[in-house]
Formats: sequence, C-alpha cells, structure tokens
Amino acid sequence: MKASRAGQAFFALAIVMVALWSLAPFLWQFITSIKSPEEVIAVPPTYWPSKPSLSSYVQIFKTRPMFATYILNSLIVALGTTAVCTVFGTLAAYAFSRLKLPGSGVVVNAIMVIALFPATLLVVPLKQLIMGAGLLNNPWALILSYSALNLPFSIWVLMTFFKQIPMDIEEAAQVDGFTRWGLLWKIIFPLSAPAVATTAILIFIFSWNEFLLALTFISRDAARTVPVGIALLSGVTVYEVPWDQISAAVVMTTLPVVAMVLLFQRRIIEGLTAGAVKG
Amino acid sequence: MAQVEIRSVVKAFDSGKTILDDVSFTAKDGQFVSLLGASGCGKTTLLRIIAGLEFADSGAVFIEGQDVSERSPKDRDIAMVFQNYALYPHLSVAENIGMGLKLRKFPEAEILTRTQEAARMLGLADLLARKPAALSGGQRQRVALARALVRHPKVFLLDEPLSNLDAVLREKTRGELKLLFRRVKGTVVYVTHDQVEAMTMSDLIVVMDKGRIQQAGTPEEIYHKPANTFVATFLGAPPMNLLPEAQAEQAGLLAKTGGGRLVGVRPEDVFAASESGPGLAFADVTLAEPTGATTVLTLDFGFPLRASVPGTWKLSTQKAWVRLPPERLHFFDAQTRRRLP
Repeated sequence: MKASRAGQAFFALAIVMVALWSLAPFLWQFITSIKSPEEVIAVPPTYWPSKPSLSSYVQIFKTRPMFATYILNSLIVALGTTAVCTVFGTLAAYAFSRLKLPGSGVVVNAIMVIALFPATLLVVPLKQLIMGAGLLNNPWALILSYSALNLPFSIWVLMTFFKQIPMDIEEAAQVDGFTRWGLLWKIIFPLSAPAVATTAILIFIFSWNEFLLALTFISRDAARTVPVGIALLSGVTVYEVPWDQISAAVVMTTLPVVAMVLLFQRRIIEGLTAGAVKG
Repeated sequence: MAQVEIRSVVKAFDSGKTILDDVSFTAKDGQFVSLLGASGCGKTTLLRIIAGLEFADSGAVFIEGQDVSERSPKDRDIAMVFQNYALYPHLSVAENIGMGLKLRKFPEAEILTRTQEAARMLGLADLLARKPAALSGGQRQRVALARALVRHPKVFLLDEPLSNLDAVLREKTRGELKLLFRRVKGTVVYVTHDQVEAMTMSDLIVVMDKGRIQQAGTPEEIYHKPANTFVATFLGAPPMNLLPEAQAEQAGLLAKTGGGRLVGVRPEDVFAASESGPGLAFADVTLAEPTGATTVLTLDFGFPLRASVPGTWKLSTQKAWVRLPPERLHFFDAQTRRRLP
C-alpha cells in the first residue's frame, strides 16, 4: 500500500524529531565548541554563536601538546582491543559452534556468567592483577582488560551467527578440499563479515569511550586515553573550566567513531544484500 | 572411475540408536546405484560415510580396491552434490565450480577450460559471473552438479539432488542426469526417497529400511521379484495388495488349498471386468480414482483390494468381477515376511 502524502510528511517529521532528540547533546557540544570562551558562559545562553570560530580546535592542540598523544593512545587501545576480540572471539565462537569439544557447553555458559559482572566490581581485582603484571601505565593494561570484558559478548554474537551458516556449505568445502583453516578463512569469515563487522564496531566504541578502567590503570599523563584526558582538561586556574576546548575535544573524538560506523555500515549492508547464507 | 564397495558397515548414534546395521553392497565401475528408502532409514548416513563426512563404527569403505575408511573427504577423490546445493554464496558460479581444482593446485588455464566445459555441459555458460543468489533453484542445482563433474572424480555422491525442484523440472532433470552420468561414465551413488527416480535412473537399487538393506537388485528384480513384503509394498503406486492366503481363498480369488502364506498382487496385475464371467469373483466398487491412463479401483471383498484398470473403465460402474492371474502372484512367509520361491 502506498502511503498518502500526509502520511509521508508525518513520517518525515517523525524522523527529524527523533534525529534531533538523539543529536541534541552532540549539537550543543558542537555549538559550544565554536563559541568564544566568553560567550560560552554568557547569561542568557546564546543558541547560535555571534562570531562562530574554530579557534578552540586550534587552541587545544597549541596549548595542550598532550592532546594528540591522548588520541593516539586511544586509537592504540581501541584498535588493539578490537583486534584481540575479533581474532580470539571468532576462533572461539567457531570452535564452540562447530567442533564437538567435550565440556564446551559448560565453558560457554561460564563465559556468559562472567559477562554478567559489572566492570565496577572488577576494578580493584583487575588493578591488582595489572600491578602484579607490571602493566600500570601500559596500553596493554587496557587492551587486556577491555578484551576480557568484551570477549564474552563477541563470542556469543558470533556463535549465534556461525550456527546459522548451513552445515552443508562446510561439508561441501571439505569435499572440495579445504583444510579447516582454509575453510575458516575463505568461506566462514567472508560469510560472517556482517556479524564480525558489527561486533568489531561495538567493541571499538566501548573501548574508545571507556573511562573507569582507563582512569584507574593509567596515571602517567603521556599514557592517558582521550576520555580521561578530556575529563582532566583544566584551565589556567582551578576556577576556570575551558568549556570551549572540552567541547572541541569531544566533537573531535566522536568523529573516529562516526567514521567507523559509516565504514562498517557499508560492509554490513553489502553482507546482507549478497544473500549471505541462503543456499 | 571406480568401483565402490561397502563392507559390513555399522553405525550407531551417540544416543545408542542403531542407524546402520551391517550394511554391505558394491557399486561396480560406471554403475548408477540408488539408495532408496523412507526418511530415517539410514541412506543419507551411508552416503556420508562413503563421502567421509561421517565415520562408521565398524566395517570399511573401499574405492577402487583401496580401503579409504580412515581418509578425510578430500583424499577420497569423490564429489558430492548436496540436497540444498551448498554453494558458496559469496563466490561467483565460475569460482564455485573451479574451487575443487584450485585447491588441488591445477594450473589456472586448465581450471578455466574445465570450468567452461562443465558449464557448457549443464547450460551454465552465460551465468559464470553470477553469484548463487542471482540464480533460480534449477540453476543452482546445475551449478552444484557442475562443481562435481569438473573434478572428474572416481565417484559421484548425490544426496536427493532433485528434491528441491518443482515437479515439472524434476521430471526433466531426472532424464538429463541419467544421460549426463552415462556420458561421463561415472560411478554414482544416489540417495533418494522417490521410487520413480530410483526405478528410472538406476542400474542397481539398494532398498533400505531401519538401517538394513532389504534388497539390492536391478529395477526389474526389485519390482518383479521383491525379496520381502517391505520391498513389495514400498515400490509401486498404488502399492502391491497383500492378503492372507486364507482370506483370498474365502473370497473366491484363489483355489482352496488351506495355505497360510501371504499373497501379493500388484494392482495392475488384477484382472477386473464390469460383467460376470467364468472363474470371476464378485465385489462392490467402493472407490474409483481416475488418473487418466488408468483408473484405480478399490474393491470390497470384506477386505480392500485395489485394481488398476484401463482409463476407459466406466466410472458409474458399481460392480466388478475379478480374477487374480496365478502367474502374477507373489507369495511371502507370514512370519518372516520373506519371499517364498
């Protein structure tokens, strides 16, 4: 049935409303970031800056040489975590879903239970482990603990997906002459690209945004990640909060996530339209 | 091409249920062998054991005289066509067909020629660049066949390859397959639950039930000399009538001898007339089902007897006079249900 014109207009309006609602905080950050420091704290607040300028974006790199380092650290940690979770998650999920290993049911359930613990509960024991391993202020401290928190999720999502791939395809591959690795690499991975991409991006976003563990395990300024770095941005005096620069930093650090989503989104759609697992 | 020999294969599921119970048969070089049975009879499991996708608990599989029981599927030189075709959805038709050769490190040029040859044989030449999602069911099925043919394997294993096609296409493909495998002189093991497929295509039919071979023979032997009541009633549509001998004698269909055997007679062998005559037994017609060329009558002798008469039979006829030709009767032991000579 074709929607009426009024119906279409209503639908469009509804989309705009939802988008505005979701984007409002981000838009406010953006507007703040292009205001001058004086206008940021002006009363009553202005909704559109009188003199929009990108100077706070320049200022943040000029006055805070560590900011670029934070971004780099965050990239290392987030990409590292994503890599670890994707590689081990995929292999573990495949093994759990396809190889008949004794006791795998118990292990899968144990993994699920572990995923139920909130990160807050794990901060202290994790910190002791990290200290014991001598990894304080090392990006590996974050990569390893983020991976531990995210692996259950990636294993579960991928396991569900692998189980949907018809067994016939794997058997046909065996008859064709694939080795187990070849099968995984040439058949299973390409077929699961949408699921792997989705998992990867969610893990990337988690690692990119994570604050609590990053604050606890990293105290050396040069090793900090962006969320902690932004939270600890300070003005010239304790009484000055550089809102314009904080906003600029927030906007900038959101961009990689947006880029990732756009990049993977195409991959996801590709995977879905290829008629992925229908034999 | 090669001979396939199955020797005393036994297989039980983890639950302890026996799925194959001491199964042995031989598919000679170039023979088309059907494994025929209802679902759950073990025929697919047997095919998977030949392929190496499953392993027997005991017994052995020989291909070309070599014991391959312990080998993995890729080292058995077999090709398999799966019921759901199992094409690689992310690869083109050409890549799907050529994958087996590529993995066996054939030179690029030979893969190309052989892929094109197989594609031409199956009428896929124009579709080589497509992905499986862009093909119809019949085309996918032919890609699956091409993937098997291109390898020139010792044995072709086919698992109900026609069951996902619609009736018209199935009938047409059935004949094409028979000609195709005759042309490539392939040894074929073909799993089906469809008796027409088995009858029309096979050199040898292996009828299975409950994990056991009920009979192995040519289509003529299976149809005209069924080894037991299972085979007798499994093949043929409508199925063979089975009557206790005493009942048949009571109804005047057989001379009184006081026998305790089971009498089998195929509906098309029952003689039925719409008028009385010497030596004919009378019965009411409870049901007449015209199928065009023939009409199937259900006759009431106190027990139902089905007769297949020419399509010219008047459907309004309520009475029939019947005779069972002695030379067309099959006799089975009432206890063992085996054929009596």
